[in-house]
Amino acid sequence: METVILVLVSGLTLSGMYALSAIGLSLTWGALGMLNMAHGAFLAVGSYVCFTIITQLGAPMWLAIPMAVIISGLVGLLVYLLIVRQMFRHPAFETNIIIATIGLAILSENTILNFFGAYPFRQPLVIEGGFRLSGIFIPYQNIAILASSVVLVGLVGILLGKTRTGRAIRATSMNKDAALLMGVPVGQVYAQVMAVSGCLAAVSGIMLSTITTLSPTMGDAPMVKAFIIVAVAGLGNVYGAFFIAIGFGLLEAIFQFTFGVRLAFPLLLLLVIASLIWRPNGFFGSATILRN
Amino acid sequence: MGESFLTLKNICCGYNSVDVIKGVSIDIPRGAVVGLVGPNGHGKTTLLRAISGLVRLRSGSIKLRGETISELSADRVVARGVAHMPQGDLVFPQMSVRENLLMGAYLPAARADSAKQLEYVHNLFPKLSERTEQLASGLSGGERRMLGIGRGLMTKSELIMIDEPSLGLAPLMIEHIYDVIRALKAEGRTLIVVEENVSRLTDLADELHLLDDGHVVWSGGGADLMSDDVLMKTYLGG
Repeated sequence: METVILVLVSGLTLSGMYALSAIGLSLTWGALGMLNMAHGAFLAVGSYVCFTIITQLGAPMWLAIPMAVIISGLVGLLVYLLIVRQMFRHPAFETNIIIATIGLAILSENTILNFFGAYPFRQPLVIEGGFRLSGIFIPYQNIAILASSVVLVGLVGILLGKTRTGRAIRATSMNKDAALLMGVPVGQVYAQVMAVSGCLAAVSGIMLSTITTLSPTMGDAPMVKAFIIVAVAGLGNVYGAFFIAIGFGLLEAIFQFTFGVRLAFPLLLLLVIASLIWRPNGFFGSATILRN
Repeated sequence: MGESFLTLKNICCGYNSVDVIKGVSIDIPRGAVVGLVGPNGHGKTTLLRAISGLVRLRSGSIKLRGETISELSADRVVARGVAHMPQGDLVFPQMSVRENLLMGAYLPAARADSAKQLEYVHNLFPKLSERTEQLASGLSGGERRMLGIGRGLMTKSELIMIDEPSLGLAPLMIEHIYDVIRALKAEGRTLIVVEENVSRLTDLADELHLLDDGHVVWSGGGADLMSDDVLMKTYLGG
C-alpha cells in the first residue's frame, strides 16, 4: 500500500508538470504546425524570471509567479512576432523553424549562463510541511504542484472548449482557410497560442524548479518528454496530450521504482517506440496538420 | 437588376510562379445569380478564392459596393459581407455541428443574431437540427455539404459564393441543395455558383461566365450557352 501511494504521488507530480509543458507544445503544433525546440528554454526563462523577481525585487510568491508567467507569455509573443511570423509563409517553414528555435534555445541558455552562472540555485518557493497517508509522508509541495496543474489544465480546457477565443484556436488548428473564411484573424490566433504556450511553459518550469534546482538547461529533459507525450497523444491533440501526460508520469514513476532511475527512461522510450509503431499518428491524433 | 455590387477588374492571380487567373473582368449587380462554368482546372475555384481573399491578386482590383477589398485579408473580406463555401466543404471535423454553425457567427455582427440565424439555417436544413451534437467528422457527404453551406449562411453575408454545390452528391441531395440556392435567390441575395454541370444553372443563373485557361471566353444566358453546340463541345464536353 505504501509503495502504491509513493508511486502515485511521485507519478502524478511528474504528470502535472509534463501535462502543462506538453499542452503548450501541442497547442503550437496544432495551430501553427511548428515544433518549438525553444519550449525548454521557455521553461528555464520562466523559472529564472520568477527567481529574479523574488530574490532581487523581494516580491512575494503570489506576485512573483503571475509576473513570471506574464513575462514568459510576452517572450512567446515576441518569438512569434520576430521569428515565426517572418518564416511562416515559406514552404520550408516546418524545417526552418526547427533550426531557428534550436538557435533560440541555445541563445537563451547561454544568456542565462552569462547572467546567473551554472550554480544550481534553489527556487525560493517552498511550501513547508506535509501530511501522512498510510505512514507515507506526502509534502504539500507535491500536492500544490498537482493541484495547480489540474486547475490550469482545466482552465485551458475551458478556454478551448467554451470560449470564442478557444473555438478560434481549435478552428485554426483544424483548417486555417476555413477559419479565415469565418472571419477568424488567424495571425492573432497564432500570437495568442504562442503567448499561452509561453505562460504554460513558465508554470511548468517554476514547478520543476521547486522540486529540483535552477539551471540554464533545466528545460531540456522536460521538453524531450513533452515532445514524446505530444507525439504519443497525436500531434496537435491537446486533450490527448493531457491524458498521455498523466499516463507517462505514472509509468515513469512505476519504472523508476521497479527498474531504478537509470533504466526507467530508456525502458519507457522502448514502450513509446512500440506505441508509435502500433499507432503512428498517436492515440488521439489525426493524420495531418494543414498549414497553407 | 440592381446597382453594381461586385466588380472584378482585370484581375490576375495564381499559386507560386503559376498564373491561374489571367485578366478577368466581371461586373455583378446586386441580387444577381452568376454561374462560373468551364473545364476543370481552368480557374473557377481560384477566382472564388481571389474574391474571398484566400489568394492575393498580382494585378487588377476587386470592389464590393465600391470599396476595394482586394487588399484585405480573408478574415476582413468576410467582415464586409462575403461568404465563401469552398469546394470540399472544409467543415471543422472535431467540432460538433452546432459548434461549426456557431463558427459561422464568429464575427460580432453575426454573433448578435446567432440564435435567429441558427433557426434560419435549421429551417433550411432540418437534418442539421437533428445532428447538433454530432461531430462533423461523422457526417455523410450530403450532411457535410449542408453544414458547409449552413455555416456560410451564419455569417449573414450579402454575397454568397458556393463552389461545386452538387459535386459527389446523390441526385436527391443535389435537388435539396439547389432548392436552398433557389430560396436564397428569392431572398434577393447575390450569388456566385461554380458548377461543373451547366444544366443545373441554366434556369437559375442570370448570367453565366465560361472560364478557360484563366480567361472569361464567353458570357451570357444559360439558354444561349446550352444551344451553342460549338461552345458546349469545345469547353463543356457536351
